[in-house]
Amino acid sequence: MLLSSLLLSAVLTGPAHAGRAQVTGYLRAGARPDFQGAGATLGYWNLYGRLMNEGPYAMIELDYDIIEREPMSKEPWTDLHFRVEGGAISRASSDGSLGGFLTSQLYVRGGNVLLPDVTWQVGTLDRFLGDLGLYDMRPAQIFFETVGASALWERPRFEWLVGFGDSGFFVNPQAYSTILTPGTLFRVKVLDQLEVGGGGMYRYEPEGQGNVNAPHQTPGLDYESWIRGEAVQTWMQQNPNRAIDFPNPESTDAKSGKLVGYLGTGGYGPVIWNNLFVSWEKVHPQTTSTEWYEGSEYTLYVHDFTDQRTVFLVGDELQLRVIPGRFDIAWGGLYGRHKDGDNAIAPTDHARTYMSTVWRGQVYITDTVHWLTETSIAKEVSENGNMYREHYDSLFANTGGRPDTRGLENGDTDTRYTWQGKAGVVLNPLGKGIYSRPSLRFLYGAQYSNQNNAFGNSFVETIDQYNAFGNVERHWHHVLSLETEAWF
Amino acid sequence: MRGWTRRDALWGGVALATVGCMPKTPPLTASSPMKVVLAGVLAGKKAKVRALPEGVQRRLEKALSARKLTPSVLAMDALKEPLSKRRETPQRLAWLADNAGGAEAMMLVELEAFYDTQIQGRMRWTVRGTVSIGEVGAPGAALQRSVDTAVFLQFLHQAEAEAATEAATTIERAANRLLDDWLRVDG
Repeated sequence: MLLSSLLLSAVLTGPAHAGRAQVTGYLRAGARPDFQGAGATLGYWNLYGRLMNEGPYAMIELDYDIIEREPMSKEPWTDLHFRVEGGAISRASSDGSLGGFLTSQLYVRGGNVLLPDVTWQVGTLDRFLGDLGLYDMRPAQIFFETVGASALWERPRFEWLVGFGDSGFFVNPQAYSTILTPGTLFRVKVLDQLEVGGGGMYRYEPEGQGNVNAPHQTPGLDYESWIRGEAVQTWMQQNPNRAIDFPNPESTDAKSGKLVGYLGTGGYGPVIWNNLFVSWEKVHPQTTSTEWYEGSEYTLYVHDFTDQRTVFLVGDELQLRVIPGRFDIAWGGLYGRHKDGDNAIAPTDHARTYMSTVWRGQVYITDTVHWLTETSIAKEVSENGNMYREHYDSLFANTGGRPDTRGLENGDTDTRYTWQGKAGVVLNPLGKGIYSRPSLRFLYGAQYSNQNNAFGNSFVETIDQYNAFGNVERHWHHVLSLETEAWF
Repeated sequence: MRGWTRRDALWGGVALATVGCMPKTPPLTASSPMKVVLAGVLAGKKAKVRALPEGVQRRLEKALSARKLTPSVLAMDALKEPLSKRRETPQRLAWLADNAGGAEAMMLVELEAFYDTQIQGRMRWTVRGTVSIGEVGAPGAALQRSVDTAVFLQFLHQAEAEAATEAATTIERAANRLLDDWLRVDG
């Protein structure tokens, strides 16, 4: 990759244009005094709206124009991008270590080389058709995990991306195995007020006999025992004194992929724009898991236990200018269904349905001083039984309120309902707009959930008689937020 | 929890009044009304320049008017060919001086907008350019101020015009500062 990048740069470097370096990035940071002493986010995740449900984050990117683009010109240009990102702000995570940051993007682009209006890219290939800003989600995104090469053909009303690469570095960072990844993405501006897009990518991890990192399946294992973490123990009990005969993994190949669609419309009446995204993804199978049995660690190859996981997402976000210059709103909805064809017995994140709606209104008191109000309601349902605990003392309550110590369920309900409300003053130095940034926000947020303590916390959950801290029944959560968010 | 009292409402009103009454510095003004020919163009991937977006144009006219400078806007039809052919600022200023239509001063705003990259759900664009102000009789002595800023658009269909509009606050501030510097000496 590096060699290709250097070659591309070398080919393009010719005319005496001065290089130009820019730094760009993104950050969100702040203090979240938490009235309950919890994890400083209002709820578990951004299904309830990203606001106050995400932690601090920083992203910085070097953009070096080796040959600058010239206006009104088809001359070649080339630039280099290097992005580092992570959540280690102060000591919020990774104890403040720079090890909490990831080199997430590294690529070189060249435009108007060989073909006019075509941009060649070698390196990371991440590309999306838009964003659900209220959720910080990008369903119509491909090549997020792919390193390779792509060509993007851009015309005023049309763009088409074709790429090919390898996702193995990202999917299995500790145990690299090639995952060939071709893909494509297009967008057509049908009218000034209407555009459509779509695409997809396919991942293929070839069978690799002799390669410990390639996909395999350990034969003779039982799914239920595996999900309990007892697959080795069960096998040993069924095959006493035959530890030496524990089955060797059998090689196979692994396939996965993603399809995305996009419909955008707006620019009429009060509608600023509406983004509708849909995606269906077959998740790439897991390679291994580990179990300990009688002091020995066993690596199990689990391709066949994890190769039927899919994620279906539909998301929409509407932005409206209700009273021009005074009041705008953004309204979003999200539906997700995660299915796992291998698992019909245990509640997991791979077998659930969720839906939510988030509404945000912003009143412009002055150009730069705004009042923000946001509310959301969400429902999450576990497909394989109870997954949430409604009461602190329901540790032993399972289906029908009966204890089931060998049960796979967790908690006393399969459904979580969440309501959140947030309000406060926002200072936007660059003026009006719900998504005008930088933003300095002073917010209060409240959450109600039927789940007990439905937010990140370090509370003691055991109801052991020797629990010195006690347990609390708590369905409301209150948080103040003094925070900032900026792209720069 | 106690309810809202009249005192709470009073403090709220004081807070809002404080925000509304933040001190603002009045701009410098010309010693006498002066007609200024205003020409603004935006360039990008297309082969020819286009008009500045309305949001930028309106702010530039406001910056001039606030200083007792009467803007005389050159229509895009008159600018498109000559300013697409002339791409350097001195060339354009010289052309503008010859086509000032009786104005005493001229203001030239040249912007370029380029798409950079996608970052955290946004589309990063760079907007850069030059704002020039000077007397029609001395185009070579025009004062200039550069603009070079990044803006972050939400949608892929947005292009040069939206990027320039997003940078309108920065462009307006550059124009304000330049006009004040010019009026302080020549106004």
